[in-house]
Amino acid sequence: MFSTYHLSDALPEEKIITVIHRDIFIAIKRIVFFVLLLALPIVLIYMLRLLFPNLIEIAWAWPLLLILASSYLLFIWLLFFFSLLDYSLDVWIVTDIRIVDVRQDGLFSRSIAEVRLDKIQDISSQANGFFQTFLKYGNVIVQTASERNVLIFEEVDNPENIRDILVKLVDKEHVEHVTHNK
Amino acid sequence: MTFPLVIFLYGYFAFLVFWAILSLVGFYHLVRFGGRMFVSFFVGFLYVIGTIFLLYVSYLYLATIDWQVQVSIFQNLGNLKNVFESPTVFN
Repeated sequence: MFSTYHLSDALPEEKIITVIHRDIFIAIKRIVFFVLLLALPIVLIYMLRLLFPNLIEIAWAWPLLLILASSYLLFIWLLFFFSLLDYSLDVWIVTDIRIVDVRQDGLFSRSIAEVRLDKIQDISSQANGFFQTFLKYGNVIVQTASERNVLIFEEVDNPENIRDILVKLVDKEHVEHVTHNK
Repeated sequence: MTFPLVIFLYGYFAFLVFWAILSLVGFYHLVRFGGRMFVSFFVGFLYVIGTIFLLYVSYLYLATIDWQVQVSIFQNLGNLKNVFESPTVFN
């Protein structure tokens, strides 16, 4: 029923090696943030009713409060949806020929870039700070000889492992390239 | 100055139309670019379930209000004094 990813412009005999999203901790961080925002009006209404029990007697106050709370909750829920959409549509696809970097920045901005493996010059991984070190996520930085000098896999799970996969693929690509040229 | 309470409801419906359009744009992105990825399906499913819940709870509360009532804003402003003078948990 589900596939991991489908490359619409796949080259002949191109194989997808791995599809990488941001680490799940990034999604959890966003979920916690939005849960707190969603709980805010419930706490506020409860406190208002506790502090001003007569508020409900004003004809327009209670309906207005309900409408504002409902609008706020729906708006925050929409922002939460956009945030998860952003998370799910940011993806790096590593194939045996190239790396495709797909970025969704908000609703109306989407970019797709690709780097061929034979253009890669250097690959490094980094984990900065307590959370990245402890939870084993971070960035993988790919230096290339193409127009786009740097390609960064941001906040991905186990960056060392991804770097190893990329190094092996690039080495294999270089060997094939040299053999092909002889 | 009096006005019908239902004006608030019309404002709310206008917001709902705007909100529904943005939701549809989000779904368009999800279907078009997310394809058949599980994570996209999960995000879409979660959004639909949450939306149904929020709209249903909103309906439950808003349905209890008589929207035909005419309210006088200046007359009721006097009542605000009572609100602030009412017994609170701090008394």
